[in-house]
Amino acid sequence: MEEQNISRRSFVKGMALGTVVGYFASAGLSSTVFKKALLPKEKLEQVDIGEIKSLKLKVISETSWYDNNVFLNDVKGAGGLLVNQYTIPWTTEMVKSGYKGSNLGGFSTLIEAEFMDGTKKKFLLDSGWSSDWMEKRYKDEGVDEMLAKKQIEFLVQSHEHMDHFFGIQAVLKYNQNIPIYVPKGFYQEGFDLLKGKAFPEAKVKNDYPHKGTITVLDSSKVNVLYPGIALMTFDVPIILRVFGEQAFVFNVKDKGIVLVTGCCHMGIISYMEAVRKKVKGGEKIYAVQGGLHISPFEDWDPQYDDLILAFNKYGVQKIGANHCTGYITAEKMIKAGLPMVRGTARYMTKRDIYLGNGDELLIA
Amino acid sequence: MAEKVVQEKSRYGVGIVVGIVIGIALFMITYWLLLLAR
Repeated sequence: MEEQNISRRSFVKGMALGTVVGYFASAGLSSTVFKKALLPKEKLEQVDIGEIKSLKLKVISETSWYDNNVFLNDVKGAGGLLVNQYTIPWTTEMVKSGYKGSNLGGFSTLIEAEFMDGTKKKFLLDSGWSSDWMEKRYKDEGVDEMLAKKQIEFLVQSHEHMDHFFGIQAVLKYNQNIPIYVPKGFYQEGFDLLKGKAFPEAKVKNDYPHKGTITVLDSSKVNVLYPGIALMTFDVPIILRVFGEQAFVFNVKDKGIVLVTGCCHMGIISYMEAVRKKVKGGEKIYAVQGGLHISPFEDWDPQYDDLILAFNKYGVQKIGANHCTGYITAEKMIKAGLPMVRGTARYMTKRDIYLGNGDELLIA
Repeated sequence: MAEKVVQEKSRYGVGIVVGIVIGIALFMITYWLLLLAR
């Protein structure tokens, strides 16, 4: 009887050890050797957005503001990053590095797409911040005439932030009927500003009420505007009480997908992942242009290094970054061997390390 | 005595083999449950 007990104990001991070994060995093997075979295949519901022949991106203005400290003091003085942007008394005087003493700049990009039949159409992404500065830049680049002659099909507001939207008067002055696309999440103040309401506290006004159509786009689908041109909307909460951002997706024949952003608050990796999953051809992102929102205040966090490393995975061949990407990020990207497109450091853009005001990126 | 030691070792070995099979089965069940829960 005693002998039988000893045998059973040995068997149970062995079995306990074997179970632990078997369980963890399976876990280890499945997560390494059998990873591909065991993981369920990712379901991609890609939309075919069509193709365009070529794309020309002209940076009208990427300088949001001229002095980071002045901007940050405005925000701090008003109560912090969660304060409503329409109630902050932004500094418009006595800024040495500013335009006519004002700290307000703005972001706006002119887009020209050539379709497969050779016809071309122009679009505007964002309307900047200071009407004065934006009007100057629009005149410098002939955008005022394009607007007046109704050569610009529509205006896309990437999001509601002041540096992308408060300069709306400079656009509407030349075409009050221009169709506008806004992302879902636009606040009532935004619609009121479009209709001509002033916000004296924030020193923003619009003397040219918008009379055209306003289309609100949500994140439920890829919104195809023309063959080869789509907008994707992201439900993201953003500082200074803003919600939602949208960005362009172009499919350029023989090149691949080109992403054009305003500020990219959804995160550039999230954006590229969403495109990969939802847009046909999204596995091959050829170029990225616009603000990538990495170090807008020229600070650095080690986690941004991972972000730059992750960028490599997507095999992007041209990065026409600017604006909230930050100069420090541009430096690190160049150092990491990423294909950053350099600019010419003109019209208040301080460095040529990225695509600045008046610079162009041609995808053809 | 020597025969007894061999017998014990053999039981222990059989236990390990049976345990490994149980371990693999347990892992497969938990993996499947995790997949269901996704």
